[in-house]
Amino acid sequence: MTEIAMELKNVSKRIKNKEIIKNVSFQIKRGEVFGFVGPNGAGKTTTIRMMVGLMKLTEGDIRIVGKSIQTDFSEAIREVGAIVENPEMYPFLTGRKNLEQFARMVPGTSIERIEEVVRLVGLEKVIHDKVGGYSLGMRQRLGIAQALLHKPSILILDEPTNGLDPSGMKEIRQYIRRLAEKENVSVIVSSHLLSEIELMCDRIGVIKNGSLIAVEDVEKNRKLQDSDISEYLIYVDKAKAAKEHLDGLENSLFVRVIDDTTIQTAIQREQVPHILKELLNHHINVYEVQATKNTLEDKFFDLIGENVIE
Amino acid sequence: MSNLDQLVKNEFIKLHHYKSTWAMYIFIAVLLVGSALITRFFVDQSLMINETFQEGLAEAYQSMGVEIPAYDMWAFLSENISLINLIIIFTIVVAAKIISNEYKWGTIKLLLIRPAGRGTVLTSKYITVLLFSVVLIIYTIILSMLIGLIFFGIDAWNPIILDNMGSSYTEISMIAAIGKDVLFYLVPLIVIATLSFMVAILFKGSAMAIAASLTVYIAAPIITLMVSKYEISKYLLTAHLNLRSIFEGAPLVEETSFGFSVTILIIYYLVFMVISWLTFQKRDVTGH
Repeated sequence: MTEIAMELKNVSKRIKNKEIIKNVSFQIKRGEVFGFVGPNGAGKTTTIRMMVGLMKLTEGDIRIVGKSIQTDFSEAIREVGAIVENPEMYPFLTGRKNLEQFARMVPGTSIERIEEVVRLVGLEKVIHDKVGGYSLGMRQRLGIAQALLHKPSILILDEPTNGLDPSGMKEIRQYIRRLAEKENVSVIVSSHLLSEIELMCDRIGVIKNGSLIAVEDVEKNRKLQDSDISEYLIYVDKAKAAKEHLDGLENSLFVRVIDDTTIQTAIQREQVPHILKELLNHHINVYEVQATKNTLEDKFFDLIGENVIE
Repeated sequence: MSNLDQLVKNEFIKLHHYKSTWAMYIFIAVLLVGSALITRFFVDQSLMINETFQEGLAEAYQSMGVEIPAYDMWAFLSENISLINLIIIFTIVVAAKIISNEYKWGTIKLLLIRPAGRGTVLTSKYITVLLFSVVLIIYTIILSMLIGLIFFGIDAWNPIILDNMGSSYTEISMIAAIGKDVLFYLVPLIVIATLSFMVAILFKGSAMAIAASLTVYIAAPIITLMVSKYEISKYLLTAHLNLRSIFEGAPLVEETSFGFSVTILIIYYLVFMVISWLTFQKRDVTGH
């Protein structure tokens, strides 16, 4: 067994001489939740379509558990379960009959497995109702059930929380984490909302105008926040006095007066109590301290800037 | 892949979940019962026999010493074999919808990310279309026989009749004659269904496919006559769809032989198939 579940090698896509995806390469490990983030129109869905063979690659290759999606489609796609864009099903069939359809398409999928995935996504109560009457959340779950039927090693979910209410989103998030941790399934989740995805992903790839511009380790980013230098706004009663005092301290800090009652400084997180003690000891009252930078969200915006549709 | 049969089963299940499919079965039944009622109670059956057995045919029967049959189940059945014209129209619709619906619902994506592969998926749909038309034909035949038996009774279980076998009238058993008629209908059915299938793939929608195929099928004689003064008319698909009349020596375009027509039909068929499969295999599946 390889440790790499999916590998994109120099993947490019041109449509009518326009390069939509430019030389994208990355790897996804087994049991990893990989977030695929970028503004609308950046190329997320196109990349996902190429991963599952719905679109042909212009250049490069995609390997799924070592098998090329281009030359070994059947073997490669067997390892993949996916929802591309919306979870679309046959509206005139019941949830159960829909799953039976998909079970027949992959030899060796048993009736027990259908019941298992229905329980897994918690649709027992409505599985005998027609899908036409399902809410978006129910269809999303049925979509996941459909993707999991044949026990894939990679689950690809395109905007899985789209259109869900907050509790539905949370449920899907927990569910995805459980799959990755307990069943060692690699999950690729795309979204245009970073805040939503960083809660469930191990790593995040940022795509902009068809190029992969960064791959961030979410855990590392969280840890960094303790030792990294961040910007803080400190609300005090005497801003000028505060600045004068802090400027006089041993390791010269950068302090800026914003207005009469606000100063801004860039310090490490662990220095915060020390600074506050200094200020309070010198009879400068502190009302509020606010960290203003260095979340993943900001990094994301720095990276992306404005998405210019070329 | 080996699960082609499972894919065909899937398609059959989907097809029989549409109300319109059941409407087709019901429509045929209503037509058969209606025509039986009219024939039985409002029409003089001997007149109908006389109409069928006009000049040439009646003479042939006389000279060959075969008795002109009375109106029975067999007469009712051979009359209603022409309902296959209706079945061809139904098949055009089914061939167009079986492709376009998957695009409409977005389920095409779920179909194509399975190990079966695109060629197999398309083949399963194509087989389903043809299988469905065969089911409809068998249904029509069985229902005609039942209704015919109830309303008109039966003279002989497999009577000998005279049929136009190209050059002359020949003695032939009733069942063989009906089999021959069905085969002659199957040819345009398959070619036109394939045309509808191809157009649906090209346009990812059913409207164009249904319109184009219906026009070609129903207006075939008109289209052919309109261009009949040009040499090219004998290469048109529309000139060869009525294989039966060509076989019986009355082609739409003069001097087309049976062999020539069959060759033209096969060429058209192969072109439709190649375009369908290549397009479906090669094309990127994008948003709507």
